[in-house]
Amino acid sequence: MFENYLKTAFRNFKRHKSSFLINVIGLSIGMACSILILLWVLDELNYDRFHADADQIYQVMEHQSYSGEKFTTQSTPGILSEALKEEVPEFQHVSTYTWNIDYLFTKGEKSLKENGLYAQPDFFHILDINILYGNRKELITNPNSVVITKELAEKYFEAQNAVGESITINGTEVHTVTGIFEKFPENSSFQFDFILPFEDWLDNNEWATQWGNNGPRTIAKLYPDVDVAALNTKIKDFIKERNEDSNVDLFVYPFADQYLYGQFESGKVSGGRIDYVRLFTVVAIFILLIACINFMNLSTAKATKRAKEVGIRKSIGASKSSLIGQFIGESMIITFFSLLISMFLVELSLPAFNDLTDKTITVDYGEPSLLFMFIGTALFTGLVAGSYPAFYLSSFEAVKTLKGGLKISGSEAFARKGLVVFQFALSVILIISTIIVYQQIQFTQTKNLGYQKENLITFTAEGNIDDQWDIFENQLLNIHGVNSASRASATFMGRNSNTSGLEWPDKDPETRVLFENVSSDYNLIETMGFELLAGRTHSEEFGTDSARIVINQTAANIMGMENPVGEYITLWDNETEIIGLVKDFHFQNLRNEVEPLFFRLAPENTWKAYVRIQSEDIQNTLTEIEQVYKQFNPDYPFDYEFMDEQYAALYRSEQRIGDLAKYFTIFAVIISCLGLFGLSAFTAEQRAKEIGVRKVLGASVQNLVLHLTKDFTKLVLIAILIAIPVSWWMMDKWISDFAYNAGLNWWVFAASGLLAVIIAWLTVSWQSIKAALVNPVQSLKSE
Amino acid sequence: MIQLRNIDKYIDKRFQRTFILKGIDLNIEEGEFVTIMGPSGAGKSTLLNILGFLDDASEGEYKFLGEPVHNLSEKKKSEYHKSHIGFVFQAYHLLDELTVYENIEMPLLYRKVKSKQRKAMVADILDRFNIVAKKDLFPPQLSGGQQQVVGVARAIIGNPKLILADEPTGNLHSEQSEQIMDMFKKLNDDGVTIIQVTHSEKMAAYGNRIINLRDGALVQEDPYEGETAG
Repeated sequence: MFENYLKTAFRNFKRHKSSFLINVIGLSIGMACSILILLWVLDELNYDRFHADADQIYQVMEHQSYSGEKFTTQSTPGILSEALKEEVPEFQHVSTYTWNIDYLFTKGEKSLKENGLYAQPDFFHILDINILYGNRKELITNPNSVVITKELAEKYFEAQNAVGESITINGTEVHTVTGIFEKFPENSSFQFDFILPFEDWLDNNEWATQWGNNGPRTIAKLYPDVDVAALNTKIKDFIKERNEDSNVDLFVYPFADQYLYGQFESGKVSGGRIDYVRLFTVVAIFILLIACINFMNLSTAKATKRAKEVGIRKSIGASKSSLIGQFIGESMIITFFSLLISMFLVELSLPAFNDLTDKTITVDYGEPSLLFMFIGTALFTGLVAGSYPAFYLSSFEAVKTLKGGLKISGSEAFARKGLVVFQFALSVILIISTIIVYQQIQFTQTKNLGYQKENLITFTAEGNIDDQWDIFENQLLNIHGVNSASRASATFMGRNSNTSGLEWPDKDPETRVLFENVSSDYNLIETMGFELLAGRTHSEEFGTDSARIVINQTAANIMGMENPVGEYITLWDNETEIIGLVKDFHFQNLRNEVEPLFFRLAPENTWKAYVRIQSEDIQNTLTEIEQVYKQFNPDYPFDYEFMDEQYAALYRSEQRIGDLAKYFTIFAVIISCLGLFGLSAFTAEQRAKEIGVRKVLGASVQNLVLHLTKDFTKLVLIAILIAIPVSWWMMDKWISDFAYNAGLNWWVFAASGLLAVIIAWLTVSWQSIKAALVNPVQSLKSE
Repeated sequence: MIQLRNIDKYIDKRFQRTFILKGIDLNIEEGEFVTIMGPSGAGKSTLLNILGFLDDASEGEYKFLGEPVHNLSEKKKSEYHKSHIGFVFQAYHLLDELTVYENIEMPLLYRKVKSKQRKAMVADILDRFNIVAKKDLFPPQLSGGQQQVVGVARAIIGNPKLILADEPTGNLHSEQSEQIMDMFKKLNDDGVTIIQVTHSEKMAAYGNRIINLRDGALVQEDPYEGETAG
């Protein structure tokens, strides 16, 4: 029997080549897109979950309260881990560690920047760090030790086992390698090439030993079966008990959850990357549905051709269920054939896809869960695509089909039209969303940030440059293309350092406001191009400027000062004068509102250099800057970045989402058009006689084309009407995540709709014109 | 074998009921060769379809082999299609995607006959109908007469007790028609009950009883009148 079905199926495919091709192309593109998205989703879901005891690993975090608002952060006091380990028995291991830092590693001739962090010995008992050489218990117990990756060992010592060797870090400190570890896989939020002892860092950063100061992060492994909710109640006031002024609620949060559920709003999880995971899962289902609809529509449209077969088989004794089985089987054959093609497409597009998503996804065909996913996708597709036609076809009454009088019922035509509308509505939603994402990215890139991000370079002021800044600066200014230079403790790409230690007259003692604190050198405001609204900036002409600050407009507003210049406030218990007011500028992602900020003259705290250059002959200027740089720091590579490029990188994830959305939208539209193409071919064929009659009666080709396109145009218009409010609602939610956004422009919706109509027209008109040009003699002769 | 009591078939449209068949009483015994005749639209095909369970009567009682048909489940009906009834159509209704061999084989597949036996049965039929040479051709490659031979072969391969033929020779010229009718005659001699619908007096003459339908009602039932008229 199966053989009989197979033969019927294949000979049918052969006879209706075009609809077979449309189905296979649509389904294989649809499945390839879905599989790629599923691979991406799986990768995201497995992020950070490779640690053996991932469910016992927790990040120790803080909710900080500021005038009723809660700000959630990973930053903790540097002495938290010791106290937690001693006093809270639920903690098995606790380690405080720093953010990632670039350090210069020197061994012999080789001198390169490497990226790593400081941590405590417990770090190795919390995370699944694979130690290749060295004793796990004595890795960073000694202040002069360092643990490095196999790659670093090979790079500097030309051997994997470099335990016992010594290496110079930052030009002066000599450290002994005590262990070699294996680098973490790509799907880990921790990425580092070396680990230094945290105590070493703490010695140089005494501020971090205060309970009131936050900076380093703290990670912990809890004993199995710890009641986390109870633990969080217990440690809530842990910091307040040690620091009266504290506004911190301490809590632990599952480490592996941070990646996907990392956004907090007023002390509650508000989402994170999981939003995108969900979004793209929906997109995958959409694309697959669009492909399935093609199959359904083409199969039911061709039903009249298969109807006779149904009648014959029924009269011979085929039961309804055996016919359903036959037709679903046919759709399964097509989907599994398409699956093979889509696997090939996936393999082909994976490098580009990885590039686009910044992942290193590979398909391991030996992995049963992946094979299961492939087969599952095909089964799902085959079932969704095949079941409607199967039930529809098998329900034909034998008598009617055999008499040849089978009429397409109104409800069936309605269903098909409904599916086309659904399909195009999905496509239009995708088109609109993609344009809006791109518009927002465009908006972020062209928005006036309140300073000139172009022709501004930045690099770390370290080594001798830090020590002899003034000489370095003077030499820079001698270069023709350099306008000015300064340095600060801020990147202006996000919050770096902040304080609530600001008191002003009329301040409500209950309120607590977090101010961004920018330590700066002279000329910073001029170099960056921040606009001074009133007063002056820090200047060498006034000797005691270190007790004076410049604030931004938001800070002035919050303090309720109309003319802040000349007012006095208290900063960390010192009387401080406000000498200048700058216009608000964006120092964070545009998702965030501009927050209060002050500049303080404190060159000793700065670490980032900014150099304003002229727009002509940039290459030459850079070479000259590098020459000066090398005079001061011969061992350091000159790693500079353009400020506008850094800024663009802030929106890398949005850019990625936009790019992904763009490609998937294009594919969705292509698949929809394929279906429309097939359907219009079918309609043209079905109406050949009608066209012939009309032509004989005097209709022109234009008349006919218009007549044939009209029905499809109506469907697409309905689809647009449905898509606009849906996408409006969706994108309004997305874009309001940005404090500063491009808004939703009506013309985007209009243009997307128009685009859909034009695409649909182009698709349909080809068939219509072809049908209209046929000599009526041919079409009328047949009956 | 077949007992019809007061069978009605009608279509309701708005406020009007149109009768296609009205008050049909009919008995057909096993081994008969019955011809249903009548003008176009008299309800011949509808009657045949009801007899073959392809259509349901609106009212009345139909007993097939003593069992009331209106009580039969869909499944039971297809069981009967498989084992008791063979259809021959005016338009042959062969599946164009399947070869002559495969078309003939199809009923056996639905009856789940074993492969070996199936081959033997098909080979036997091909041989009997003299179409061995055509077995790998597709229906569109055959003449109308040849297609109908295949159609008959397909109808009888399952050894049905009853063959229902709806104008089996309607599309054929006289020589081909005679060939088909000879086949029917032979099958009837072997004990198969045959009911055919035809316009042709000549074809009707092959049977042993004629039923005349006019406007959905039985006109007369006289096996001999038909013969003398022919």
